[in-house]
Amino acid sequence: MNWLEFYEGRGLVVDLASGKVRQEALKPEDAEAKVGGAALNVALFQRYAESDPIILSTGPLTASFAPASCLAVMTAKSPVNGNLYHVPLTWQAGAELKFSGLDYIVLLAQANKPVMLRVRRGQAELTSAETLWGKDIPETVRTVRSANPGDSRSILAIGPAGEGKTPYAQVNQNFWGTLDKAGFGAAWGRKKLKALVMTGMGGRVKVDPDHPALSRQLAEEIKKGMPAKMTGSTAIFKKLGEKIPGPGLLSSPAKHFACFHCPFPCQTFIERKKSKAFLRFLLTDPGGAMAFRNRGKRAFDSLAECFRLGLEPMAAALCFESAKGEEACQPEAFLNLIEQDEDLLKRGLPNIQKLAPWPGPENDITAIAGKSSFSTGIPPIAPEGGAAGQSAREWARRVAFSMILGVCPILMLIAPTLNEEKLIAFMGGEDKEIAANMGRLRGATRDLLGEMADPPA
Amino acid sequence: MLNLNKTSSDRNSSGVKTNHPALVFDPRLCTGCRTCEMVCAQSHFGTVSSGKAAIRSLCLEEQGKIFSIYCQHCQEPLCLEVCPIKAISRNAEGLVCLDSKACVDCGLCTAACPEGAPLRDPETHQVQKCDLCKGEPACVAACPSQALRYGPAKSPSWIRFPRWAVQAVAFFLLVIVLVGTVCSLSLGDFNLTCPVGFLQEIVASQTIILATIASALILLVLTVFFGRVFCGWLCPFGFILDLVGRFFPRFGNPKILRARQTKYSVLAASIVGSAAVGHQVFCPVCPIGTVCRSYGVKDFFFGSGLAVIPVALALEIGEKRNWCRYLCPVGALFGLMAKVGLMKVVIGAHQCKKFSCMECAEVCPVGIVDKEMLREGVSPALSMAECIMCLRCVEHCPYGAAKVRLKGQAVRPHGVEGFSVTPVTGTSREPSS
Repeated sequence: MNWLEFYEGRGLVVDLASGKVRQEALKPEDAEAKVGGAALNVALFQRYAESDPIILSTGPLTASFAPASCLAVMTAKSPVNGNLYHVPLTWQAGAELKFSGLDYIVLLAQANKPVMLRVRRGQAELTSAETLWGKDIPETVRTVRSANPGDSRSILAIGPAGEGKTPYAQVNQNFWGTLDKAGFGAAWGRKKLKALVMTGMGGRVKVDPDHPALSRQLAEEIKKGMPAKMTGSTAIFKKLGEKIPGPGLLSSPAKHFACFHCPFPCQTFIERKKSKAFLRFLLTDPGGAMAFRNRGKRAFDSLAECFRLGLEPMAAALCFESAKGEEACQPEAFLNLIEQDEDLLKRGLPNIQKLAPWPGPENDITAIAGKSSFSTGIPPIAPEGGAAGQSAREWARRVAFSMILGVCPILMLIAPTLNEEKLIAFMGGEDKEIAANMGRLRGATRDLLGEMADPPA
Repeated sequence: MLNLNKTSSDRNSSGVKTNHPALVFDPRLCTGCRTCEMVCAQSHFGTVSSGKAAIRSLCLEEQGKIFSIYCQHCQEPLCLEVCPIKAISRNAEGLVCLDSKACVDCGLCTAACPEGAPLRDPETHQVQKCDLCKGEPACVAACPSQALRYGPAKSPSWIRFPRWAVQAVAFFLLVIVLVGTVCSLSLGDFNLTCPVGFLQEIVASQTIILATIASALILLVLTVFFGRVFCGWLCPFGFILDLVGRFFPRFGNPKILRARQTKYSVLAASIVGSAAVGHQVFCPVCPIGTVCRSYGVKDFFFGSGLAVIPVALALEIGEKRNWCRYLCPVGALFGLMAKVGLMKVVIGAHQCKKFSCMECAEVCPVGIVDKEMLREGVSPALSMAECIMCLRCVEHCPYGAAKVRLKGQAVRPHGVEGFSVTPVTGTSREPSS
């Protein structure tokens, strides 16, 4: 199978200021040199740099039979510090984008009024979102879905936090938070982009007939490589060597969820009775959960509240710690205070020059993660099988590979049997072609990481 | 993988094969990864596209529930009825098949199906329907969490043998050997008394004989522990109804005769009547006692009681165990005890295939499995006051959904839409930690 067959061959360029939406062909030289995902985003960012772009793209393996082929990567300048960051979007976002017949979406300039972009099986439409503006995340998702039942599988949206209140806002996916720690929610809010709705029912025409069997084989290997009885969010915390955050947080897990075509369900649905009602949410953000671990039973409420408001939980937790007064420690009250008193915003923010760091103890990986262009929400799990003393470098390499190929970085970190050779093998071809693909991947990784991209000796 | 041709050939009253191998989805295990969609589209069309798959994973994210939509190969397929060009038919194996060449993609089948299972490709509008991949479903092989199972309908059919044996032995002992009646029976130091007869006797004579309390309580205690096991396994009249009921044509009861509360009225009337007239008023016409008294070896075909049995049997023309359902005061008293009892029969929502099967509703002799609820995609809760613990539902359920459980054990019936029909008590998997 030719490696170009892993791409849809199309991108979407949306000028939010003029409301014009146009398709453009994916340049084969871009795919050749940058492969996809984060590396492709950098090239596209440079091309459209004048219009302050936000770019979402998939990798060649996104929505393929490769394990955890769920990934879309969002790249933009962070409103927190103005640096370029890459945020992994897991769950269904990458698959839906690819099934919509697109490799990437470039969002340019700023809209005058709140807008929503709907992408659907090769069609794209920019519509008014004035009625959605001001709504929290669940309300936004419900409203979008009720208007188009069965036709909005993946909704990326911002809540009130992203609508100009704080740079520490997150782009949420459906009802829950993401690994966005770069404040892209605020970047969307600045562009007046309330939501991106993706429904893909089309997809790639051809699939290698060997891929399902190869996929099964890899899934088995991944499962065998995992410690027994490790599943759900607990697995991530165990790999981090952390305790399960907060007695109220994981006290009643009900069900584990996996992202698109992932053999390992690492997200736990939390269900807890509060008063007479049930509070429910999907734990999609392990960093956010850890950030609230000192709040005990209130950890659950705070994290769910952050998801509802589109507030970035790791930064919010730091804000609450530095803000004084009980009222400022509640996400919604905190947002209201920010709206009323700009000084509090300045006083409350952890560090205007930095993204909120991973809430666990500092180590080599968190240090390298803090300096890299990857979202700090990617758990600093030391990859198994890396050379001694090189775990930080191996962490960066694995994250970069996954962010380029379109595979979930979390699985890449927790599954010791999964590596770039096996993923490149998915792209098939003769030995010579596999070597060429590997060379392209390493080249693209080097562009992202510099000399850290080279395998440790 | 299992071969379609290797299954047995149980058929329902309409001649439809009921135990063909089936795809069974367990929402507790599903992680929502959509691998099933991918492999389905790939195996049929050579492409990865959820629009072309005949199975679709649906996630109710706010409730943390996942469902899978695929053809259930129903016993009463509505898609087959509405297809204007008869492109949908049932094959010899009992599977509901779509002739995609004949299909004009009108979508009526999708609209008619309670599950919306014939799925339409949003791009081409072509209808896709699960064909079970000729006995080797690709989705089952690929599912990483084993949430999809495929196999022959398997039911513990052996239950019928001990039940018939116990019924026959009980009949033989009570009617022929022991020459007493079930109304009051002595076996050495062991005494057994019909609790309804005992209640009538108390109110009629206005005296309580302490010795008889224990003998009357035996059946009631048995009922508290095991439900109305007397009605399903021991009652000699029930045995006759089960036997002859197999050969009776049934025409259904008129609505006025379908009030289950009637038996409680009969019980109350028997007690009040006995108190009024000073002797047991129901016992002379009780079919259970009459079987022993008038048809037993002591008074073989003797007395006015002979007439009771033909009358009660005639009721079988209406519905199965008509007497037990609507009129029997003994069953009513046992029902009250069973209601507070320790056992229950449940139809587990996770395994139940609801409208596509309805085998439990077909075989239940007292008709307590609500077909309408099954048609709506909900596993019905069974009333233990009405259940006679015959275990026919357990015996016939091809998917192991009907089970006997302790009262406190959690069950969580789901509708196909994912809304609980009983308060959530939680049977989901616990975390491995």
